[in-house]
Amino acid sequence: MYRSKLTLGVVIVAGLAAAQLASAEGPSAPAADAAQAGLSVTPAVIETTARRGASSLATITNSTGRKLRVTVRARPWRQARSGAVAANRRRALRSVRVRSRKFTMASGTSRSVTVRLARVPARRSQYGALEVVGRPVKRRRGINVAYRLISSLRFNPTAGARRLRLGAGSARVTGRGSNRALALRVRNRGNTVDPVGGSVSISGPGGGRSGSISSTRILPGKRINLRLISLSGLRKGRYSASVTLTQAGRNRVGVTRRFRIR
Amino acid sequence: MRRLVPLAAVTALLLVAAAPASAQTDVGGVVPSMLDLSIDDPRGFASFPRGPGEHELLIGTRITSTANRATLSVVDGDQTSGRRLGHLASSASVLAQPLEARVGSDPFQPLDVSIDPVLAEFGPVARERARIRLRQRIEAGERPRGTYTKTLLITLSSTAP
Repeated sequence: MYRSKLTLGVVIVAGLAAAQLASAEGPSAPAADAAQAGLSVTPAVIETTARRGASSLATITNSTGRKLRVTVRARPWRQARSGAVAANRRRALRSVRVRSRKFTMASGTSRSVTVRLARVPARRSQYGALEVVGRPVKRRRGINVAYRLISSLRFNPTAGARRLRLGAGSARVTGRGSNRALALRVRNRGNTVDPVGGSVSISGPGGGRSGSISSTRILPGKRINLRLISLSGLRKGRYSASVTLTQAGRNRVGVTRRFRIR
Repeated sequence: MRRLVPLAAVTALLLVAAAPASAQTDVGGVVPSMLDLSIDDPRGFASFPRGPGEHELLIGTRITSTANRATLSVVDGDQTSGRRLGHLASSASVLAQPLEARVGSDPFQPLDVSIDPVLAEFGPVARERARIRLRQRIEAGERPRGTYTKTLLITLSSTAP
């Protein structure tokens, strides 16, 4: 009698515990299903140290429901003066090799591709984009859509070869009205893409203003117009700006620039 | 044995009561960085009626990105340069006006440019919807002929080099 009650108690315990587990897992299961339903690439940033033969893996998953013809290429970045970057479709990143560049993927399958640095450039680092293009196997009349995913490739310099140097040029006023802002020409003379940030303080007839500079990554050798601070609401006149640029947690450049709001 | 049955019942209650308490403990995990793009399959723009006009086509997309900033753009998948870049073409003719695209109420951007037109920007998002509106304008006096075909690359890009 007691044995049967004991058995019943154990069954209840197990049942209730299972119910608790089920209710805890319930909501997350559909979320996991919903998280992927297209073409995906993991990771979004492939980062390793720049040594000859250094390699890393990118995993491509086709959950589109369609068979895709996939092409994977390493491309150089193009960086605009605004700091925005785009993968250059007309060129290939020659020092980087992709193993398994072209293949066909059935729906619901994954595939890993190896990205390898074949040659270390003189700068001791290499940055670029990994372009994954998935085209449906069947092409039809009218508009055909294909998938293109661009992730970042970072072959960072070794600790000994790491150079952090910035060059500051002239300051200029950009935009109008509420979009008016102060920008500083900044060139990355180093060999990393560590974000450039810092602080700025301006003074003039319309009063003073100070703030921090939003972090921006600048490609080695590239020059951008780094947005420093909004000038919205400031009166016309001559102003002075004291700028400190930081990179990798240290002050790299301190400059004072004069500018005029017209 | 008599003591064992109440003990089992108390244990059962404790276990059931203890289960919600686990919600208060620290939870976490490693999420791999990723970009994921899904696209609805649009149908249209294979042919156009005679006469000037504007024709539109909607493309639904869903975006998952762990990047701090990612952009959505549309580029010509058949050409990277030349006069056919961004233009619908058939075996008989190339339309004079380029295809244009936009997301939301932003202005239309032509697809015959060498720089990828950024249609939308995203922070970290999961299954975020974005509807791309394609537009093709037919000029007065233009006679669309034949069957038009174009592959467009819907691009989801990390913006941090």
